[in-house]
Amino acid sequence: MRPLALRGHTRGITQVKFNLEGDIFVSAGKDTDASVWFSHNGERLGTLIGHNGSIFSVDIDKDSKYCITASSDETVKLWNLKTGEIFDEIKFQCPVYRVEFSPDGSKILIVTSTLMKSKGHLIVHNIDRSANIIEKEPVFSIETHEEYKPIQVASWSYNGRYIAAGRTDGSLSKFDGETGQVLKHVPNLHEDIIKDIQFSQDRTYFITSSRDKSAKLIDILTMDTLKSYDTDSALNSACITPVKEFVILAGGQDAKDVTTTSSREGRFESRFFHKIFEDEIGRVSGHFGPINYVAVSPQGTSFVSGGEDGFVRLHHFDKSYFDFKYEVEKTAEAEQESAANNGKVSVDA
Amino acid sequence: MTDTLAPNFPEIKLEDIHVNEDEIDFSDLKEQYEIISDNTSETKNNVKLDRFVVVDGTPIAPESKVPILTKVLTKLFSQAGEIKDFNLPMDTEEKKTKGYLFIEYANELSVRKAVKLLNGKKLDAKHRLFVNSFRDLEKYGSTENFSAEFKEPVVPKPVSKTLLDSWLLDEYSRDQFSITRDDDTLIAWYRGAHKPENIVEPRRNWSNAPIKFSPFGTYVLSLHEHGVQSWGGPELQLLHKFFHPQVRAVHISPTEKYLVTFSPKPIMLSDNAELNGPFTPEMEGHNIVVWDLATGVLLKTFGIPGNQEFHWPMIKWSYDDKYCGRIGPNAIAIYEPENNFQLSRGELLKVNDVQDFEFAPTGVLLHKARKSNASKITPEDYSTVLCYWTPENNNQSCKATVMELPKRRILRTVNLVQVSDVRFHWQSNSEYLCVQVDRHTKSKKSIFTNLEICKMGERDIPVEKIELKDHVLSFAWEPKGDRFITISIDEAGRDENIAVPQNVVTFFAPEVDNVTKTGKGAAAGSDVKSWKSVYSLPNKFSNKISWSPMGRFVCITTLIRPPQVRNQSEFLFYDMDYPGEHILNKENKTGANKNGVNCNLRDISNGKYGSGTNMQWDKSGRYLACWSSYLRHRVDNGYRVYTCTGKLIRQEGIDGFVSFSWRPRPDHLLSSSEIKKIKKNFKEYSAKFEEMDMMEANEALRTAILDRRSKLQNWNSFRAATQKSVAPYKIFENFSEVEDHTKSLITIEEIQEKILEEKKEVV
Amino acid sequence: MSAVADIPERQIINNDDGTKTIISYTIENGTKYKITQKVAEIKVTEKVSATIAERKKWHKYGIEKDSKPGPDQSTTQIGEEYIFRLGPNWRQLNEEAEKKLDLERKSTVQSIKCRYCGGPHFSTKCPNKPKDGSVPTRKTAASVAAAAASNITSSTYVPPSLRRREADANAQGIDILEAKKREQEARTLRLTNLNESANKDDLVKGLLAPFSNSIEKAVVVENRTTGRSRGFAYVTFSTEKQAEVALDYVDGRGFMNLIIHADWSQPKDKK
Repeated sequence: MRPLALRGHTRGITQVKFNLEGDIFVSAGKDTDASVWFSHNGERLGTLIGHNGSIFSVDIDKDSKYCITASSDETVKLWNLKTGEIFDEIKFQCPVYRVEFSPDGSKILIVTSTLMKSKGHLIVHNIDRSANIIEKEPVFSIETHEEYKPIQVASWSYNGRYIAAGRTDGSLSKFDGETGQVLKHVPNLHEDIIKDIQFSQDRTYFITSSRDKSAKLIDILTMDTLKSYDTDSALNSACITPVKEFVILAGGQDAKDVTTTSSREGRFESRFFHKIFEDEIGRVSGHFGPINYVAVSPQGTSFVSGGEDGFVRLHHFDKSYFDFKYEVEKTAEAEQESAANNGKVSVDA
Repeated sequence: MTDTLAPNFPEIKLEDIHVNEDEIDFSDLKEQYEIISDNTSETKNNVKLDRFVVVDGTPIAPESKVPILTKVLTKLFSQAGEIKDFNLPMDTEEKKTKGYLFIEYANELSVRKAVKLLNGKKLDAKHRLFVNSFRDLEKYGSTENFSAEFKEPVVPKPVSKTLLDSWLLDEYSRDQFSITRDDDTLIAWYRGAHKPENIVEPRRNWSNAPIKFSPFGTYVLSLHEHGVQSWGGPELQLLHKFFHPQVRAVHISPTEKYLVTFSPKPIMLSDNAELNGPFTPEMEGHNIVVWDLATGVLLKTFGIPGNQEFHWPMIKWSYDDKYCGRIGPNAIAIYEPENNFQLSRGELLKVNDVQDFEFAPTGVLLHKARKSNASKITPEDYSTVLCYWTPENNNQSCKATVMELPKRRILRTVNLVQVSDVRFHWQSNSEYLCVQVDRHTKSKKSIFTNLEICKMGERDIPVEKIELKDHVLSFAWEPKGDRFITISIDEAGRDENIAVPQNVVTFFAPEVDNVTKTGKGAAAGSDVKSWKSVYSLPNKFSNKISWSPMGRFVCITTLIRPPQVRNQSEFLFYDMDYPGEHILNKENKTGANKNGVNCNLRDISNGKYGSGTNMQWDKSGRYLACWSSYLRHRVDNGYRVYTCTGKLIRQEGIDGFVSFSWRPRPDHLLSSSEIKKIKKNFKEYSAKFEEMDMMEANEALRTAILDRRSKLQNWNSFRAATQKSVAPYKIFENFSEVEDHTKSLITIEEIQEKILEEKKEVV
Repeated sequence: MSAVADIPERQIINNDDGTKTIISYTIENGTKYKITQKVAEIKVTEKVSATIAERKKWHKYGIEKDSKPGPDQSTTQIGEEYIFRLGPNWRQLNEEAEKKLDLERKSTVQSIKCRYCGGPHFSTKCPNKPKDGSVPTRKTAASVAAAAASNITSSTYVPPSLRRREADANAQGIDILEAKKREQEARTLRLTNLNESANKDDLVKGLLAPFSNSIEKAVVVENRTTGRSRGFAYVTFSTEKQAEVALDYVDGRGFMNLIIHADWSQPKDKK
């Protein structure tokens, strides 16, 4: 596997997102411009120029028509992905941490920070796709309940039905995507801040990653913990790979704790775990600083990692990645196949 | 051995240690030392009685002598404090004193002082005073509480040795080790590449410092705020408690008989007898306590001479525990532990300005005891030997002296000049003693080293001198062998930039008369003529030489020791008796020994491990554990286990990892012929062990497969359930749509960069 | 991050033939490495969905406005080959793969090759550079033959049959040596699909035992760097007739778990 190192940002990367077909991805960083890339060859399509502060979050809608960005300049901007022009923007009273399109592209969720005396909000706005604007009146805007700690990250479930939100104390909440009502709260899931939530491809379960050095797989319906992945390094991000039953975990020590120069020593590695068996099965290194975000293409053929070192690293998996299976999986598949064949025979008969 | 037992103080900061005193159960200690006091209501009387002493053994004097006797005794007892009342009872019929008297002091402190000061004091040749506090007398002397019958004192019985040694009888002869992580300590069976099997589940705050094993692994010692506890037996249950508040260091004598504890806080008795444990008034002010390890009985306490720096162990032991010694100003005190810690021969070993001394690690077979027939040698033929050194002063040169105990016969004196420091390195069988002499140049700017090697088994102990131009930083004998390795630095030509690696590792081997003699067999004293440097590795950061306890294999190591520029460890494995080709110390690198040196050195492995801070061989020399303690290195903590040939067997990354320790085991009892037999049938054994390994691996594999199978099944049923419950949303159908519309494919052309050639080279 | 600062800037050299040479530096485990890559832009065709194809036509914008198509070296750098082996024992897998890669790297140390003389330097600095500045075409038959003849600069194995043909193309006339070589090749068989652990002795004393008296020469072709068999061999028999018998005997025969394929080492003229 020969990764591409993409140098489109001068400061640390905050988020990287693929579009639905996986041919394009967008990266955002602590500098003010987001970059749009072709994933096949790492060619940069363009940059989104317009923010006056770090971009904390970025997303592409399902039709690859829009890009949306959330920034410390207290705005959320809607961009034309094709031209790099701004369609619309919406202003808040404090920096915005997260933004994400609902799966159908009709809504966006927004997580605002607790800076500037704000208590932190979870806000949903409609997108008027014909007029290319963000509707100014939110569908709902929920201020952090006083019993709970502020939300750090949030993501939509299938059909935009629920929103899963991770909080700074490691607890997790499930909201109704339509009304914003809290449906369930899971306290003490993690011992430290939840830094990322990413759903599976079908958006029925998701993975949380925390500074407590673990990641957990959660069922959105029951909010039960399905799997847990423990590492020896604080995590910033985790994603679930389509096609293969893996998860990718990434993170690293804070820069101030890092004394060694070698990337291997500093643990700036993307760690691959088997999603079902919870074993670590491989690592990919290459960053010089902590990895802030990992994303995998919806086709499961490549993954990108964005580091504090300002690099986005794009990796296309080789054949060996797809070939790898546990014996147990192979056996199970063989059994299934033969069962299917047997079924066919009986029908034919 | 002292290395592993003495705690490394820099590692542990007092403020880092959290002890929940509630968790430590001292009830049995209290029970043991509690003094039964009658809960009387006569509080008023009590106060008074506490101020009285009863003095026995005073002269029985006629009435006429009473004034002078009173005067003498008053003066004597005033030393302890102000006397309120002095009562010298008279026998009115005989007109003589009764031979005892009562003194009332102004306060209780004086009572204790008087007892301490004057009890047993000889008034004159015939009269010895016995001073007791009235309260004690009442307590012990009252006939109500005292039975005239003699009762055998209850001495705590040692736990049966077989029980304590049961762990050695493991069916698979596995080793045990302990791990400390954060505040948790566990002890486990080492199982090669497999997950260790815990014997003791992680115990939180089991010990303030990482637990210690005794030299043969019989006991496990934990340190607490109030003392030391010993553990042992199959379940590692609590055996004894050794009450010593704020204990900071422990040391166990070579035969596991005695335990020495040290506390920076001198023993102070409190009014509350409960808090005094086994301590008695004469122990006050002492910092060192010697215990009987098997029974937990206190044997002896020592103070520390005021000007003495702390070094550990402060009490050094002879190999058989028959003697122990400690250094004092201008003398070495040698005690006989079995003789109630009396001074050997009743007097100090007076040596002017003595700096340091060291016992030989085993008995020494001196030339006079040598016999042609090795089987005739009895344990009595081995002598106890110690060595010490004195620096240069006005009327004498610097000297290193080798002495035989108990007769204090000086066997050899080595005169030295221009000395800045002397260190002793005994070979593990006490066949050689290397006196490392660090000498300064005339300008006193740099230091260089001479090695003076005493051949203990030869007549008059000849000394072989090796003059080096470098300063030796580290020296290590091959255990049970006659080769050694040094790490040195050329101080005169030293580069000021500490980022430049400039340590030199040098391998020394003896020249042998008979070249056919190879291996450790040649190590029989008189065969060795002189030592020769056979190979050296320049420009290293190496800071530790770690020999396998069985010799032959050695790991040259760079450990992370902050503050240090290079934050990377290195573990290089060498074989001193490599049987194959590419021998490092041979010019043509092939073939047999040609230059008469007993060494076939070969680098065999590089245990690539960057974050190691400590290391330890297991006692059998099979495994080397390297670990990274978070107290010394911030990231990548955990441990690794290598074979003696440097093959990595197991590694585990553990956050907050502190320390690793193999449980030592006693020396094996096999005779050399039995070992030969085993070596002969090696194939048979190895086949057996391989089969066992296979079985174990298979078992582990089987469980893993079953585990995975059930995980896979659970997952599949979870997915089926999810699909069912979200079926109305048709999300899975949507996926196939996406796939469908990608089927109408268009061919496009794309520019890609391709690497034609690539090369990577070290700059 | 200070270590990154110690690394010299990347250098990009545009070569005459349109390729680029990129020199970059990296620090691994405290050792500084220099990496020299020679990169060419190539066009690849791909089948994609209509929507993706549509997006490929989008014009660049932002900083990239008016940039030429294709990845730009300033933003898109080809990283080092990363060995990514999956498995619960991934550490071991990685170490093994790394060792292998190291070996391969060592074998390609001489990878900068002059197009004029084949020496280990850039073509532009070649002392033997023709005065007229003519650029040789990609590996002409002649150069290959020359390489084969000297057998020093060529890093690839040229089978005897090819050597002969190159020699022919050279049209230098067939001298006696050549004739002898041709004759020799007429009685040489090429055995393929050999088990890689089979050495010459296995072949001669095992598989070809019935012909052992008539075998003149047997060579198992090995990888130059690893020394491992490449799975084929040339066997020269004393006569062509013997070779033919052996061919019938050996072809399709099983040997060390594999079915051997045997053929003439050079295409036979139809007789």
